[in-house]
Amino acid sequence: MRFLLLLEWIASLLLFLLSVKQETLLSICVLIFSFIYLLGLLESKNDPQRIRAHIMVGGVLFFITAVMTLLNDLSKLNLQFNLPRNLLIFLGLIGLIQANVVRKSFK
Amino acid sequence: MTIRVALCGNPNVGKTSLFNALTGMRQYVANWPGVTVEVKEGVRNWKDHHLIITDLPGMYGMLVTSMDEKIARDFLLYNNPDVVVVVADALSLEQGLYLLLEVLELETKAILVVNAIDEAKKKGLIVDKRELSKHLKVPVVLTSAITGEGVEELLDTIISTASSTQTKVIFNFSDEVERAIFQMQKFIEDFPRISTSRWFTIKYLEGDPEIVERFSQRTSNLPIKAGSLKSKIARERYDHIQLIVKESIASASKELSLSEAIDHVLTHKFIGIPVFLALMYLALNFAFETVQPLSDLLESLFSHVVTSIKTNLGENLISSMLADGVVTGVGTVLTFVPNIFALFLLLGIMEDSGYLPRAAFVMDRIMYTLKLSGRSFMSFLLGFGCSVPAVLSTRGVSDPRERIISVLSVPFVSCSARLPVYLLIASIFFPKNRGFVVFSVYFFSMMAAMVSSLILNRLIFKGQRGFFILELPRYRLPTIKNLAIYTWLRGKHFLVKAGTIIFVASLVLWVLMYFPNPNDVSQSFAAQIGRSMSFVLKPLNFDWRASTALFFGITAKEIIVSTFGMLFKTQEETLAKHLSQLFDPLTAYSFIIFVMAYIPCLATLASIRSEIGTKYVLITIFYSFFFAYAVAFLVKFIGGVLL
Repeated sequence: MRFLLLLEWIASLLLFLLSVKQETLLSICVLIFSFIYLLGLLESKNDPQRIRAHIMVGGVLFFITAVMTLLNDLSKLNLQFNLPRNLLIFLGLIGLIQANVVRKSFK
Repeated sequence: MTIRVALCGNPNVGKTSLFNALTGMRQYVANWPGVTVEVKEGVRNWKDHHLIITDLPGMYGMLVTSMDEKIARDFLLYNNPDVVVVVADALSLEQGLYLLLEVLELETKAILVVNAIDEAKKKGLIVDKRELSKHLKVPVVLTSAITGEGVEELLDTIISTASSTQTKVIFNFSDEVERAIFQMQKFIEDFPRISTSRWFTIKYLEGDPEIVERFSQRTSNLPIKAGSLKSKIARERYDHIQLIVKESIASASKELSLSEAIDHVLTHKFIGIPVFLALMYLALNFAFETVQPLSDLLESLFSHVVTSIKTNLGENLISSMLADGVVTGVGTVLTFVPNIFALFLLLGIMEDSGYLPRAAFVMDRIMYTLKLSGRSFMSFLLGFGCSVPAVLSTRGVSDPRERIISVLSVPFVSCSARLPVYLLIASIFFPKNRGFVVFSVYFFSMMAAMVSSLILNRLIFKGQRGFFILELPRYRLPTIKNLAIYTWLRGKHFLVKAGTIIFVASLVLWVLMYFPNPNDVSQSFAAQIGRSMSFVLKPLNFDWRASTALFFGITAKEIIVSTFGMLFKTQEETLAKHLSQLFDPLTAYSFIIFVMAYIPCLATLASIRSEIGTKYVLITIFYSFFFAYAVAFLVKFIGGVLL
């Protein structure tokens, strides 16, 4: 779980760096959401529930960001398939899957 | 400096052990209640202060049922200690908090000590003293009389509390109880040796025999029966305590529910607020940018209608009234319908999912440092839709002080009516950064509402504090049906307004602009009105046209857009060209900042009048105008310096 958090945190940081010049505000949102993964990494190893909470919520927020961004591109008839956009879509899809899986571990 | 400290608490909470630790004296500590039947005193010199500490007998509450409790209560009532330390047991905090709430009714300076914290830790309980302090509005110290933990901190806290200028902390009951207290207080204003009429009144309503006796000696014509609200008062105190304990005590090894897991992240002390701001940006960006093509489509449609009318009817009074008055006036506003509905949809998702109360919760941390509460923020959030329901929602604020401040500050929150103005100006002057510009205005509007609350709190209400506790609902997936209803009901209000107020205002505006000279709008009656006020707004570089728009915008903010449309007799394409000659970008930005904060619309003023009275309507008009002026001027000044 912590390895997953680490990978996702690195990926989201990369996304921030790739998109900060073209889409500054969106990249700031990505940076903020990446902190969710970072704080999940800093949770105590003895508290797996809290670590899972970060995986779940971070995943959902990235999914929301990806959907909003794609809708925005679609409305302008300007679908982009460059590296930052593909990375955002990837993080969003993975986020949705991991959120659905992890959600079941809570009562 | 000599400080007199009273130590009180439930029996068997370790009060006397703490007294020993504070004073170094040996007292007998037994394992049954009531062993200390006389009042003990001790002294401690700490950091140039001489503390006289009195260990009172154990008491469960202020409704005395034994001689011990009477001794303790009488000491608190008639000896006026500088600081009262209420000791509670960490493992049965609720009982201790009940006593604390009663002590606070004495309007004295108090500290809560949560003792036996070492035992709580062993049982896996985590006491968040910051949360407790935030909700109770008194300092909180965690101690263990056995290990000595927290004793020095308590001594420091006693000194700082004694010298603080903290005003009284009042727990507000429900309206029914508060009305009864208000009614009864009049009867005891001249009682001898009573400095806390509120406490005595509450005790009468709880049926305290001694207090009832004193009331009855004065008069037999008391409007409310003694003890008639005893159970209601107790229930309200316990309900409040339960919410506080739920917020402040956590179990380290507890299994999390789904809502708790989500809350752990979304209400996190570090990232809760940034996440909220990020989500608001995404929502606003969707409402402004993503649905913009639909707005553009509507705009083309209305432009086509105007052209058709003029082509088919020619240039005459009727065609001018229809094209330049009705269609331009109302149509310019209706082009923003997609944006408005999108905004309401997203607010609806946030509310229906259960996230909005969390937003108020995370903002409560900031609000607390501004001497406000998250309860006000809930009303502010509603103000994003419309100020009228936001003003009405302040009925849920039980503290009258906080209610007035909320009502006066809510209009600063940017309602949906202002959105057309922001979008129009942002699209013309900042086409590449439209989303950011509009987001910044919304952000500043929230800041304005908070700063306004702080100023009003300091100036009018002298920084008194109120309680805020919020029960967070469970998270749930919003249903399409609920969202549709929510969006339609709020959007419908906008459409109805367009069909009524804006329609009538557009017609009136057209008449004022058409006459006396239909070929020269600068000679019209509307222009004369605008010119008569333009000297006031000249320092902001707002000429008579901007003044005219702002004046008519008091009826409804959307009219500002209609006014510009009619002043330049055009739809948005060439309106852009005319407006870009009217303002430079800095002036345009300060214009929308002015629109953000200036006099609220007539509907809002009417709701303010119905909620808190005509006096506050006049205050709102002048206060908001000068606030808007000052902020717009500041923006112009800072922008002028930086650019």
